Amino acid sequence: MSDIAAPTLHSKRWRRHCDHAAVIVIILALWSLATWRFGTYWVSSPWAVAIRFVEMIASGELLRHAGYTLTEAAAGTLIGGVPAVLLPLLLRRHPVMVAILDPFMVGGYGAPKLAFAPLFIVWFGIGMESKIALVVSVVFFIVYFATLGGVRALDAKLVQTAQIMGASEQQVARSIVLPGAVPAIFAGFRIAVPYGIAAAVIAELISANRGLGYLVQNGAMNFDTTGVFAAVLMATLLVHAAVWLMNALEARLLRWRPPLDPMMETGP
Amino acid sequence: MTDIPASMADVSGSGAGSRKLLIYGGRLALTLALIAGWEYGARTLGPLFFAPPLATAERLWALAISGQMLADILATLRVAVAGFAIAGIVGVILPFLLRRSARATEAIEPAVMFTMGIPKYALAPWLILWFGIGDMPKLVVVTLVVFYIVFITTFAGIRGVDRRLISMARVIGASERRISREIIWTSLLPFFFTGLKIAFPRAVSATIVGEFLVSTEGVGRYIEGARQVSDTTGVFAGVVIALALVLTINAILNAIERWALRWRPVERDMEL
Repeated sequence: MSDIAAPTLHSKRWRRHCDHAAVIVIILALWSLATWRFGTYWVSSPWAVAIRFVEMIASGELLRHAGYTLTEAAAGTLIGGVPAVLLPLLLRRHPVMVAILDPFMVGGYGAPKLAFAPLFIVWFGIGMESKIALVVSVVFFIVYFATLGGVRALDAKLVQTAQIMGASEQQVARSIVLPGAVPAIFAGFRIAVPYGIAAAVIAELISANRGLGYLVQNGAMNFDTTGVFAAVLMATLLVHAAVWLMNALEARLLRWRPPLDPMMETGP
Repeated sequence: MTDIPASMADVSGSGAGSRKLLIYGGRLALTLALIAGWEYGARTLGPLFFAPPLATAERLWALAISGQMLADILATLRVAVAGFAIAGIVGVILPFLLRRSARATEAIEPAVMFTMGIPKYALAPWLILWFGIGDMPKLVVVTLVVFYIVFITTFAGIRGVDRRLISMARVIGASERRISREIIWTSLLPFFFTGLKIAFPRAVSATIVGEFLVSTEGVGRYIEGARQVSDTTGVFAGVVIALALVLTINAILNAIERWALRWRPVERDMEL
């Protein structure tokens, strides 16, 4: 374990960067090897994908399709996420209601929402609405259980103290319950948002005339693996950008408190 | 004075009986309301949008009698189980190997995190070019989807093992191998089950999505085939089958987990 004699902090970091670079080089080498072995028709080369990616960004095509996917994911996240946050807050004082809803929510949480995609296409057509509906169904249950976990983990003493000091129910909800549940809510969104983006892409794969999923499907139909890879790369970047945004937003909302254990309960 | 019990579903204490009755009554009422809403939707929007509950039930019965339901479910499960098995084995063994080298773990972590963000389903059209319309493209997608879940939860489990237990075992002379088996594996079990519980329904779901995109059989094929010919009753029946399948699997996994972890006194915070 300690065959290297006590490396300094600086050299340790340097070594880590070298290791990361080495892993990237190995991956690109394997990828190139696959391209060389099978031909660009089957596996596009990393270089060709990079060029195509830049070209498609420059022409605005990639950004336009990414914009559609992003709009669907964002609209679905808002429409599904806001009620999912509000419901546990509103039902905080009505445990019987929560208990009544419980089996339905657990069922909804466990249900294979992606399998509902054709149903949503029947209901809402092949436009954006069906994708938004799918994202809503995916996001809602994840965020609901995350928020419920956060509300339940609330310190009852804080609430009692506030009530003794004469806080109204509304003040308690706004000043204690909501801020206390923020880490749990964000833990939910961190899982829900990448899943939501993937759901939008899947719905586009099944039936659409725009969006990144359509771009992938279209590329595959034209036997254009470079186009497929470029679109998949864009979708991946979109997921990472969304996660980064979630983290930044959470850090901003939680400026007032020291960092907590990032592992939060997120499901039943 | 404030009624925030540790668990809101907790129905103990005074008046528990009437409360329980209220809860079960409420659930029953909600179920009936949902079915009534379904029927109402079918009547107002027409059968092209909403297949009536009765028609859906009839279709399900017909599918069950003809044996097509069983054939479709088996086709879906075949791919899901195969992908799950491959990904599960690799996803558990890899963290055990990485445990020995902190450097290798650190080196591949960013690559793993980045590739985790790839929407794996989006690779399906390309995989279809490669492997044709058989089980293979679906199998690859399912394997990739499951692998990351199992890998991440197993890894978190290994990191979360109580170091003191390992030191203690070393002191009383346990071998590395014995430590892996007796301490790490046992501590890992809850995480393993969490991963399993998330991953297996996900595997079935991934298979169904794969079948939407390409296949000749399976539950997903049935749903998408029905949609393409505007057979809304077929879509509803297929979705009900998919829903029932996944929820049944969830219930079975929960039962297995309770049985395997019966030595643990209480559920600790191990959910991911």
